[in-house]
Amino acid sequence: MKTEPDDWTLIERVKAGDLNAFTVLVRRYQTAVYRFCEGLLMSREDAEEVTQDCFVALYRALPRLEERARFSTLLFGSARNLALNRIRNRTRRLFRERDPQAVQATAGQQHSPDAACAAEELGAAIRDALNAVPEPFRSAFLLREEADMDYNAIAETLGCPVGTVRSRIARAREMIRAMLQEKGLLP
Amino acid sequence: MNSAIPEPNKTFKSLTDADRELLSAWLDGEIKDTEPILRLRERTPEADLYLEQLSQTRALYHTARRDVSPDADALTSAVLDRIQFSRRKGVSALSGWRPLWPWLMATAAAALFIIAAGTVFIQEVFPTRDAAPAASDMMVSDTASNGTAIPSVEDFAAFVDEEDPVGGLLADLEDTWGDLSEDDLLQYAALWDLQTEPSSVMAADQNILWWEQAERLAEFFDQPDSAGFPTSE
Repeated sequence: MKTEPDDWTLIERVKAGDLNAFTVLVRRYQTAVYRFCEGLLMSREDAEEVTQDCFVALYRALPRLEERARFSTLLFGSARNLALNRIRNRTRRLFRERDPQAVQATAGQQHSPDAACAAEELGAAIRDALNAVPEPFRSAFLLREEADMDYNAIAETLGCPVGTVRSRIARAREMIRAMLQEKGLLP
Repeated sequence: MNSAIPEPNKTFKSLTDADRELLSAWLDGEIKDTEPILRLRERTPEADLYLEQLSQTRALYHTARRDVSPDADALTSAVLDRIQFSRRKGVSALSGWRPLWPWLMATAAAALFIIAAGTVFIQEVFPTRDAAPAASDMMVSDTASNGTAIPSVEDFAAFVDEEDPVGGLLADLEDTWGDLSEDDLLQYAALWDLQTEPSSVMAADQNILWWEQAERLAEFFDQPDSAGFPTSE
């Protein structure tokens, strides 16, 4: 039975000039990174761009990468930074272009996905609920649910103790549940 | 940061924050020791209820997020295109390092040009004795080219004795000078000229270069009737 090479083996191959190894790495993580970014950004378009940026940045940084316990912590840490940068830039732009009070009042709508997807009630409700979860609770929750990371990896990615990760994930779940109950989607 | 932490769930009054965190972590498979979980579930039925609610929330979340996926092929292609575009642009994509040598070469060339131009400019605008060409070299070559007569050691010593108020210091060196070649002697003569010239003459002569004075000195030796050091005209 043929086993897939691990992340660091692939990275060594990319360093040696094997672009196919990089393609394997992208395919392995792109969906999780995309979902993680979408959960933070609440926009599919932005999530796709940030996911691309993340992998391009990874490729450029490969020669400087040294093997650590988990490659995924580097990747998702980078994705989170890029996503949060985009949120900051987006907020600044909105404040420049609009009345700040109006921006605050419509913050939920600004972060909402495109109109076609909003038509799905459940999807919209989940996004609204996610959107109500503040950082860094949301990152911890998304790394658990979308990237399937264990608590130690999440702690490494976010640079906080495991106990804090446990607390943040529990709080995020409770907030999402409360939002879904309000909308009548959960008993 | 505590203000950002949401209010504890009021529904489960018998569960503390730590209890709820423990149950949430257990749901994620993070608790290897099941003993505390069992004790908690025995202590209060709310523990099972809380676990059930969390499970429902997770299930609903993942159902709703199932369609949130990128077009995998398109995303992979886009990433690879961007990487290859970087390579075509000449960016060292793997290293993230842009070649610096063209910039370094251009900068070095510009710096050399500025230094050379500045030096020439300063020499042209502010000619000084120190900045002038080496007098000895110029004098030797000039005299060689225009056939100026070279004075004998005796002539030079007599001249110094007669004109120099220092008291014939050089005359004492006559023996030593006698061992020098004519070229060397001429060079010493020029140097002596500059070292012993009266300050008034020097002041009047400020604009005359070393090599010009040396040339005049050579002419002086060629005209035995002339009296004194060359002066500016």
